[in-house]
Amino acid sequence: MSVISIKNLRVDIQPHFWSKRRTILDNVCLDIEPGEIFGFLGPNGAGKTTTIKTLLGLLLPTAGSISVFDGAPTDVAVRRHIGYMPEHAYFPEQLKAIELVQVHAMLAGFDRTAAKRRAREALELTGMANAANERLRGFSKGMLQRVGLAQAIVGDPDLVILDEPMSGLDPLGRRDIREIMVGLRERGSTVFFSTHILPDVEMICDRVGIIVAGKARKAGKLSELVESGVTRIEVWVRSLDQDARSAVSALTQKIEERGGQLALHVPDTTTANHLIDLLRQHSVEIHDMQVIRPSLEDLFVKETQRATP
Amino acid sequence: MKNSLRGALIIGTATFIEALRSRILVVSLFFALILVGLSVTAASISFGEQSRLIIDVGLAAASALGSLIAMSLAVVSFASELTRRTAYPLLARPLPRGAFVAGKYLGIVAAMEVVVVLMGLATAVTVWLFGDPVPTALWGSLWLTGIEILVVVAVALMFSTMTVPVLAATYTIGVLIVGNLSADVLRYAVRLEQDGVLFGTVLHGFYFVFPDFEKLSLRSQAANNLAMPADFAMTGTGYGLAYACTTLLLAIIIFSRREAI
Repeated sequence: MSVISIKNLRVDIQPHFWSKRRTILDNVCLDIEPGEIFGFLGPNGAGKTTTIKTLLGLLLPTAGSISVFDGAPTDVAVRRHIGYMPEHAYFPEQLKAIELVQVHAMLAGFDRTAAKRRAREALELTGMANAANERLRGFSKGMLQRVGLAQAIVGDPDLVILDEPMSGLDPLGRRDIREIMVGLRERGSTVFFSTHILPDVEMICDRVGIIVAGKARKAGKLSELVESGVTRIEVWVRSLDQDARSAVSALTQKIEERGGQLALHVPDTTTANHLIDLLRQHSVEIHDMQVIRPSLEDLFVKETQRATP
Repeated sequence: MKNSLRGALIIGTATFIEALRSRILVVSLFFALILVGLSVTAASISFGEQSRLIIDVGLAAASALGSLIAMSLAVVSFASELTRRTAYPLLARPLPRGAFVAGKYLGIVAAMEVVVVLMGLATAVTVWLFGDPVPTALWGSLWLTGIEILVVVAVALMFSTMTVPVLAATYTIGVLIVGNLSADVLRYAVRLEQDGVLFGTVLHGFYFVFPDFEKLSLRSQAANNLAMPADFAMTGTGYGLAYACTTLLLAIIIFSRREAI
């Protein structure tokens, strides 16, 4: 049984009374399996947040169906199993961090005492224990992001939905969030998060889905989606005299200067071997070599360009 | 039902804490106390009319300022939270929409009743310090001001469920103004009806839509140390509660159907 099942979902919205109705999501199909970390990728304005709002019952489908734990997102009982962190972590400024997270724990079903204890644990896990008794008004964006994650996980949910959880965090913060997400998976929770920070996705996701301009383009395991093979090989040298440069120009796609060194781009290993022989003939010392394989970024760019007229 | 009530109380408690810590409340309370202080200065030069002036100003401040503060808190606590999306994590919880609205209402009303009581106490203490008796009608007037606050918060919340903060505030102020003129509108409508003018009937219909704040005012009796009509407070309370409950129910219905765009 899928935790989330989206079939032919279409969402049209009318932002204001005087504005026209427009289609934000069109024929989106997606299934999220229990216990996985699913990365939902898309450029800005692709429809990631709209999809998430529909999963939470904040928006209603115009067409198609969406089910969470086999029930409707608008069903209050279904939301008992969900923890949610919004894209922009704005919270009531006058509350303290511990008070906000405690409220969410109580709404998740815990009594006052247990809620306070769980709130402390959640804030400790997200690195906010020292600021628990401070009002949210003085918090930085990164601190609010961590508090946002704390209130999402405080109820020990079976499904954690995070809208751009890495946004506004420094590299250490992103690492902490990744570790928390992996920890959630190890405890049996399913994690569904939207992002456009691709290295994070490559590090922790079991499966990914790409959405562009309201349409789901691809979904599956990274190893299945990203082509195998070699994109190019970069051979690094410190310098090239004029003779050597003329000799290698026929083999290389590009000669790029980076950090005071030269990177010679060739398309495959066969060409790279010919290039190395040529460089030896011209007494050019090879400093380094890098094999560049197709990446998630290549797939992301390709899908985005395909969808953009 | 039990879950809804529990959820409403949780939201209400959090809203109450936020409201008490809010700058709107602190600044407004400070301003109200200054008003009472100024009335004391004015009273010192009004021969034999000190208590009347103090009670008049104190109760007017409790009503007018109280209504404006209540409206501001309701709009900030609700419409702004929807616009800034701070409400979305709460709406994603297993909490019925109606419980969210009811909780916000309870929290704001609780904070405002504290403000009204404080303003009333400040007025009563000032009168007492002048050596005059505190009229019974003052407490009756404060009670009805508390009921007025229930109505104002319900109206402000209803508009907040429909539209952006600025418009919600504007519409609420409009209702407050009309509500304070309702009794005059009714008298005019009755006269027109007696003259057979159709517009009189239309106006009479409008009277029932807008709140009649004159039904919730005992300020004149309190200021002039007159006896409080026995059934007036009861009738006013019943009217205010009925109006507030109807408006709150409307707010819940509207919000239950609203999408979080």
